[in-house]
Amino acid sequence: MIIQGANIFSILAEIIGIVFGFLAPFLVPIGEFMVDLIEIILPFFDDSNLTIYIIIFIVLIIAGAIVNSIWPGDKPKQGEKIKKEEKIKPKENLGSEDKIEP
Amino acid sequence: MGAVKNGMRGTIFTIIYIITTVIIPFITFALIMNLGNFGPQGISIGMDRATYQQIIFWILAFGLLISGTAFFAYSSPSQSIRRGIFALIQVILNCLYIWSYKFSGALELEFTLNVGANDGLVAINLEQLIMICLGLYFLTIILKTYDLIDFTLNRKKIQQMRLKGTLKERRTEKPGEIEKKINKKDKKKGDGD
Repeated sequence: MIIQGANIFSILAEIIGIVFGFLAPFLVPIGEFMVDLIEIILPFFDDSNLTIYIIIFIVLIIAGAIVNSIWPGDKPKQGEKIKKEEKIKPKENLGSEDKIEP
Repeated sequence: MGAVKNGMRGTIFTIIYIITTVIIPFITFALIMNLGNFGPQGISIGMDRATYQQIIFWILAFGLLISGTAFFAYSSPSQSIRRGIFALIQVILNCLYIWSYKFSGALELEFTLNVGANDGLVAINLEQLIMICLGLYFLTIILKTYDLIDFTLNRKKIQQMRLKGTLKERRTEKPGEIEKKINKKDKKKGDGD
């Protein structure tokens, strides 16, 4: 069973190697371009103090919890839906009163 | 209920990202640092202290940023603009995370082998592999940017479909079919009243 498992892993590794070998001529130049961009951006990150990153992490968690609990993207409740429909209905009747009968 | 569900999803993905971007690399490098000699032949693998500290710093820094953005992204409603924005930021941070392994020394690994009286050196250069990964991430950035534009342009439609409960079909169904389904659902509700 373990030997069969090792064969599966070697087959998977070969497949991944073939796919990477095929993609390499297209992706490596893009990767080199990305490296140049990253080397411009990276100096802006502080490499002496971890505190800033911990603070940003905590701020993201708290902001995410607050924003996504206030605006969760849920359906409106049944009561709110009926109120909206009632507001629309009287406006729809206005046109019929203005019709001139022969 | 939606807020709780979103919060749970965000928490689960944050934990997954903390494990994969912080804990597993931390344990791996700690083991390599403290491994010393192993095996009956006394093969030793070592790492410079300064390199180790630099690697750990960047793993923690970018791992925390990625996990924080993952929480915000995954706790947002699906196909929402804020989810698109934070998903895009997360992919960019992933690129920085991978490349930070390079100047922290993890891309060029050297192992000294002491087997009895013989000494040897094995060097593994992972730079090409990282280039391919960064190329794939570039394509992912393009996809996430497209998603963000799509969510922004179709915002009202997405909100209507979320309310009708047909959001999952938006990407897979043809436009006319989705509207037919919405009209059918409206007619059924009308018959019920």
